[in-house]
Amino acid sequence: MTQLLSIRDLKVEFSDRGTVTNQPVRGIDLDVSAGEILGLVGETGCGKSLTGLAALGILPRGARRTGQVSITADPAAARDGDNGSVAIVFQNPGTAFNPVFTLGRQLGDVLHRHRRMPGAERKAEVLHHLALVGLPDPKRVYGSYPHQLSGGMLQRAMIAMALLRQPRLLILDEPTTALDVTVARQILILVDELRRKFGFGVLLISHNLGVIRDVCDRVAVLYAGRVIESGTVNQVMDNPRHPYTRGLLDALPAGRNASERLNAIPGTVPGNLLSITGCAFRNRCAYAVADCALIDPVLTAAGPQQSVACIREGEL
Amino acid sequence: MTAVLSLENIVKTFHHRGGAVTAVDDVSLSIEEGTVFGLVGESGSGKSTLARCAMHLMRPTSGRVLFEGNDVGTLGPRALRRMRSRMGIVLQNPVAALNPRMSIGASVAEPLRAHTGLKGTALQSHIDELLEEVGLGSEHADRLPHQLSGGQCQRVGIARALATSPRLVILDEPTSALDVSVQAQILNLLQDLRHRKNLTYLLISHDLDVVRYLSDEVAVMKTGQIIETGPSGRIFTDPQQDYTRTLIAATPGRGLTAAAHAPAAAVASLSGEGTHEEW
Amino acid sequence: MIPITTAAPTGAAPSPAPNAPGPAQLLLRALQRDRLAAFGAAIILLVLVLAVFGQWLAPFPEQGMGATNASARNLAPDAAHWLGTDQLGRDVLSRVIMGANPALTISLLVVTAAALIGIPLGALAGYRGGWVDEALMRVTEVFQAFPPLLLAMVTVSILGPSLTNAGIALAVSWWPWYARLVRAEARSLRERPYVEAARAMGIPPALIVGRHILRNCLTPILVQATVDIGSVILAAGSLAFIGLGTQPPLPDWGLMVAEGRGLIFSAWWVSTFPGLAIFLAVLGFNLLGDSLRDLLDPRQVKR
Repeated sequence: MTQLLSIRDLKVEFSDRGTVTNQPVRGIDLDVSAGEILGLVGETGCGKSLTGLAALGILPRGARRTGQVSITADPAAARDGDNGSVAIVFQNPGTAFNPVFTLGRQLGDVLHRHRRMPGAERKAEVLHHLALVGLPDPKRVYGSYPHQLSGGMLQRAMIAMALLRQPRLLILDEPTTALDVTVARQILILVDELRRKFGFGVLLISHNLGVIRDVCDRVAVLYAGRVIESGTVNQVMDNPRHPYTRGLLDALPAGRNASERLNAIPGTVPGNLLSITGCAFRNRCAYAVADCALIDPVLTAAGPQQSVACIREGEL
Repeated sequence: MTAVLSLENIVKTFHHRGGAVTAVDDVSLSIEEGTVFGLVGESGSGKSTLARCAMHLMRPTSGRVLFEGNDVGTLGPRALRRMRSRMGIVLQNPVAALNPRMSIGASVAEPLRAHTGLKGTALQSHIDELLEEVGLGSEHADRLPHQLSGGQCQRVGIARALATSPRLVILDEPTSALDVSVQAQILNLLQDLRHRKNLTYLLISHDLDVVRYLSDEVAVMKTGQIIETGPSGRIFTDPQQDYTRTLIAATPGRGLTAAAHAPAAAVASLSGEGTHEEW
Repeated sequence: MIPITTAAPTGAAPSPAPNAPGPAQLLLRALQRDRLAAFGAAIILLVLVLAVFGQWLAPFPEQGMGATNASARNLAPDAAHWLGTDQLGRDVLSRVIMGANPALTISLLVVTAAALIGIPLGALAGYRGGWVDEALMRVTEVFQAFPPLLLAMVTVSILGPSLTNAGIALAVSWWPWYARLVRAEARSLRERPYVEAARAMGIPPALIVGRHILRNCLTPILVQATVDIGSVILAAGSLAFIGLGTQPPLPDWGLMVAEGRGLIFSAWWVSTFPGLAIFLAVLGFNLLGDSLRDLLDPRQVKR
């Protein structure tokens, strides 16, 4: 499997006038191969969105990234100075488009920046991509303004816009959060089919474990800026080894009724990650021991398809 | 009569310059005391509009809302205010549901000041009690909403809703904006409070798992109408309507190859066999 | 029955601020960071000091009030008269210093009056909507259709030229802006979840407007008011310049600029320094006003 994205020891820190104020990403290793969907899952504050932005190199002001991010360019796609590597699709389709231009114009602009072609050809290419993402009337969508289209259609159009860049890697940041469940499901089916057809890799960022289970091949669970468990979706979801992953899955109401209490993980995510010693999860962990405050757990293999960052991994 | 809230043939139409939209189209339901009624639907289903009519934040175009046996539309101002003290509401966005310039204590005190004569230390101790009940220490009373997390703000919202000891609490997407672990904490809290105080809940949500977990009775709404209603156990194991099945099948976590058929305007068939097509 | 065992997240992040800084401390901290605002604040402080203590700070207070000195006409700035003298021999420095008081007084009064009229009307219209809103909008449009200075000129011509009447005229021209500002804020704020929650709880509309709406549009009002103080100083100066404001021999920056017009090439200091005073005062209020928006953000109270 061709490796497309390789992230090693990614750290992101925020500074204010020279002093580091926070370190929301504290050393992340990730790999995405061609044709696979890697899910990045975690709750608010775990650093998953920043990781996606760091992979693209578009961090907010005051943020600095260290570590290695390498994206394998496709030699065949190196035309006009663009290695056609990575495209990102954001969460809220309604605000991702400029409201005063038609979709055809906006997609055409993106295409124009990355591949020069005469006007008529450009329009045909945009229409082709609009059809590719399952929009039933591409011509109508081409001439429509964003406010005239539903959330689901806009999300498809955003994916089309991303595909126009012929990416080797597609990053989806919470692609279904703003959509109804039935629409969201269609989008996930679409992404799944497109990657099978075109062979690009996908990094799917979401806080929704169900979405991850539905569409991802592998998953990395983030907590406080680190990957604390990773592996194939089946392994991690059916046989979670890290106490946090277990806690998350146990906290879901799915399949339970009111007579059972949910296993809520006590406490909250630490606010400032700079001053953490040892394991970031130990204050909320039912299995914490004295060593957890001293040793910073490293992601180690715990099975053929699974890695866990916990010093007590073998015992639990 | 044990029905705390009863909606009879509610219709709500909005008029724009371009025409009229019927958000709620002849909906009737009834909520028994001590139960949790779940209202499920996607955007545009009319569930939020229905909730607003139930709370008398909007007048229905036609139909009656009966709260504790009284027709809300015919109540005079004083009776209406009293009704409001017997109904609490918890909103979706916990931080936005609180006045950013008011301290937590002041926000919780507001309904108490409006409906009871409590003042001074009696008021203060009641506020502290409410905060303790929802799992917040009284030291939070002087803080501002932005200093608290989303989960903590939602606890404040619940404390405020319960301040005047209401009979019915309307929960509008109470956990949709919260993380999974925080959601679990809040759901546990809601369960505890419900049992301790014998509360009745009207739960509005698009999240089927949450509705299934909390509700006794469920109604599924689509484009302004209730298309199916029944005990929550039955609805989720043996749905009668296609739309209900589609909704259940679309719940994240059930896989993408479920039996439910995709709606008509969905993915166009992709030609191209083989695994890797050149751009 | 079932004890609540959900873990209380107290003590976990965000950690409570041990002593939330008071407004004075916040202001000082903010001024340290924002140099321009600090500069503006310094100017305003100076104007304030001159307005209050002018008659004791001015070297020739009676000349400030209008006493003439025929032997010292149109003297260039020197050791005795730092800013020179005007065509009636009066010390320009004294007159500039003592012009601060009427300038600041009238602008504070005008802005306060305009706000007191405009804010309640705007809040009412914005929150209620409907015909109340429509009626108010038509009324404000009538006022706003006139160029502000023109409306003030007409009013003063009717009432007679004096500083007080200029003030009344300006207040009449200014209130619609506050009404519209508050109306716009009220319209947007009434959709906020916390306002909806208040309605659902049965809070009376008057309290909702006072507690939830007005309290949260204070910031734009204060910002506007601060900048307006500067604008009114300029407008009052303009009215005085054309003879519709303060009447001679009282000190007034605009009037002084007018009086020195004919001497621009021979005794430039007579018009220039009062003009500079107007410029600096307006600049100061503008700079501070611009920075006030950030200073007044409730989120400045640190977590």
